[in-house]
Amino acid sequence: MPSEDTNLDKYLNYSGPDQVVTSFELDDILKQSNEHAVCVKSKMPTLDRLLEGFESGELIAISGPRKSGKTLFAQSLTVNFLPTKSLWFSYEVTLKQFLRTFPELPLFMSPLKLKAYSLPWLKERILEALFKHGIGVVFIDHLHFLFDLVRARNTSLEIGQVVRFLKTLAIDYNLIIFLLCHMRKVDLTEEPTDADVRDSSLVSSESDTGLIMWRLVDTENQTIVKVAYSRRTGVLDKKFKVAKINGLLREVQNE
Amino acid sequence: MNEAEILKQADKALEELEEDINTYHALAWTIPFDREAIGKVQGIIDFYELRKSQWMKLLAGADEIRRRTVLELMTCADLEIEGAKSVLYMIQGNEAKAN
Repeated sequence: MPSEDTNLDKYLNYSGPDQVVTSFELDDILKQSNEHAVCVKSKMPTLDRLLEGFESGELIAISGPRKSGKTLFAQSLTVNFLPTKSLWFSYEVTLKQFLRTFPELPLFMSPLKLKAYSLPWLKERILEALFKHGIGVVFIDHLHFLFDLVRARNTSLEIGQVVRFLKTLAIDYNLIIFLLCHMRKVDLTEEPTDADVRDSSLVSSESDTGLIMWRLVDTENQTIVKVAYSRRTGVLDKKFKVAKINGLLREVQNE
Repeated sequence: MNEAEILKQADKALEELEEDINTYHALAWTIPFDREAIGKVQGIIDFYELRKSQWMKLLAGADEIRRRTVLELMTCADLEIEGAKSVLYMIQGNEAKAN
């Protein structure tokens, strides 16, 4: 009677979704699945040049101090990504306020009611939007509504789990997920880095792309967007300027 | 991809599914009720679960035609899984669950 680990038939004839394949087979499989990959452009020329668009399976962290324009930036992307549809989880402002901030209401999806601190609920609503509307992009505003700070034993590790959960969702369902994150108090005279993301360095280590935003204090409506890192394109610390024009953020040239 | 190409791809996928259904449905009802049969029926369930996870990946950013096609395929797969599970219960002698 062969023991479990010397049962040749079991291993030689094994096939399944987790079977071991060669790099060439893997390449073929990925090429086939790439035919259905979603790739969306931000319509912000510098960002599109640096990132070559956003691709399905990616988790993008947008962080910045309070009032730096993270939500407005994400709203502008929602408009620019159309006809690819987005699903919004806007925990930070009421849905009424959220709708009013668009100069002209674009098509996007949102749950009628939001439930905080529940990843299973979040996944259910994402699948609902996928089945009902074929969404390609998800925006979550913001990270700290996905886990209970009061009950968290180790905030940093729990954030890491949340971020990993979102990354798995993005891969499993070919989605692009944008996660908005606050920063801890930063000195506005200094340029923030991804190390300033509140509570966790795991956000930057688990996400594919990190965008950091901060307002230019000496201007009325201008904001700097920094691509802090992009694993796919290898870009590090490249900046461009955006300004609020007709209610949305658009790229402006450096003066 | 234009509309004609999407429809062509959807037709091909539906054809493949029909072949799968004919092959595996027949298999499900003719295999002898023994230990080996349990493995085979479980294989049918795994096969459709795998297909479903592949089809799920087609939904992101899908237009209306592709979305409806994928949903139709997944509904068919669910029926096949339900049928295979019923056969599995029959093999195991659990008539109440089989029905």
